[in-house]
Amino acid sequence: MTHAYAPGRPTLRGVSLDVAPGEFVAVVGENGSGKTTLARHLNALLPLQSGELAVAGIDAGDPTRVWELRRACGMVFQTPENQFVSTLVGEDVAFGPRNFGAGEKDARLAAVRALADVGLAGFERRDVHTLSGGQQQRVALAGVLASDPDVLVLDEATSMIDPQGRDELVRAVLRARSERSTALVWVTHDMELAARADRVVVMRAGAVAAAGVPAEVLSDRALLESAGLEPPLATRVWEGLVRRGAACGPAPVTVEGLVSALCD
Amino acid sequence: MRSSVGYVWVDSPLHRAPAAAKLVGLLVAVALVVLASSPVELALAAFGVAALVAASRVGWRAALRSLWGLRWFLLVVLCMNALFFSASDPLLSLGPVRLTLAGAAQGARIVARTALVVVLGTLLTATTRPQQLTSGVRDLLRPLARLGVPTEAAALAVGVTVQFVPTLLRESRQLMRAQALRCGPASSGGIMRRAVSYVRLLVPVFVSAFRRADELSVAMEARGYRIDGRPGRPGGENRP
Repeated sequence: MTHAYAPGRPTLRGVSLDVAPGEFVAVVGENGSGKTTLARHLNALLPLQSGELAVAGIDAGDPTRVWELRRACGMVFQTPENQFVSTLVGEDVAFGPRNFGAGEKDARLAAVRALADVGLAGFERRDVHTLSGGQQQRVALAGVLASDPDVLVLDEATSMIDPQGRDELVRAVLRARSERSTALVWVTHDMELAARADRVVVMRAGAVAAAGVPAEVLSDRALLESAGLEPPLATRVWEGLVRRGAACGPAPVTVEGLVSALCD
Repeated sequence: MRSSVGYVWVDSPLHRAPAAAKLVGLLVAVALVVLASSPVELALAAFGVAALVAASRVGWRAALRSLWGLRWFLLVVLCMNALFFSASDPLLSLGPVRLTLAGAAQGARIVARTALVVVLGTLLTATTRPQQLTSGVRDLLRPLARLGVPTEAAALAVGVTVQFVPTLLRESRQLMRAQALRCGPASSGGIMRRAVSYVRLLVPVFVSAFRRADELSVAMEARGYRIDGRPGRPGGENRP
């Protein structure tokens, strides 16, 4: 897949990516590397200029199936408050299901269920502006989950919220993924989050620079630096220990892995 | 407890009244205020508005807050009318500037009407939650749907606009603080300095508003909204 916002200046260059049902894929890369453009293609928010893209078996190049694709592939954006269409939580969450053809009662039930799924049961009558950033982002997540998507795309969805809100959102997303077998494409700068994925895709200058399991990709400092990134904290600590001769062997990429490696 | 868009959390007959009725009432009251021209008519209108403020139990401070923010604008309107409205029987004359009684009376009428309309508008938002307001707009527009008017889209536009008000207010306050830290408070200094400060503030506020609107439209599209199809209906009164 290739995409250019201006002629002769491609933002995506021959990107090729497969995501299996239920798989968690983290997409990392510096600003301007094409991550958001890729994410928007998955939701058919950009016209397919060249190449092929199928999401949940739906051809993204077929304009007659755009809404079918958007129901099958939900997207959560960076800034929670820029996604709300209503001040009322329940109203906002029911917006998606209504657009995708659900009746009033079904849309209401879907909203109640989705809010419970993200740990916000009983928040239907709350004003979105009275919620914390993390809660707002979980409302945005519920607004997507209410349509029961097969694929969930999160575009830097944790970058505008505090660490507690981030943890709450991550827990909610991973719970939804395990309960619904939803495939997860998470665009992020958070290397600790990427380390929890099944697979990490590194974007560099609009192309996929590398893709593989976190243990391989996130411990490759040269690769990450060439993509404007740095390894996760656990890997950096391990590298420091190796330099001082206090550790040897493959670098862990998660704090849990680091603790295990140190205890062993 | 008070919401950031001006709703005052007390119980009153005005709070309990349906939003659609309040919107119609506002339109009628504004029409009456605009039509009032004699001092007696304006005094009656002012008495009516004062009675509404008392009935709403929102308090005079909350009811007059927006008016206080407009005091300089209203003063300018009064002065402009007093000095430029009429050329006959001037009390004072200085070149093209002529202070006249007729001009002062016209200025006072306009100021009184504007002030009453502002207080009425403030009362509506102080006694009606944003989602009730959206719902009221939808209820009022519903008959027009039979004529093919996209009423859902209009109600959605109102809801989205209302939804963005607290965000934009918060952002404006942050920008004002940032500007005050670097250049001193916008409310200090001469008129020119204040004007420049406010213009300097308006540009980033508008840029931010457009950016947010753009992000929202993308998010709405991603959630299946289409203007030509079956749009969503946020803001309903009895929904979850």
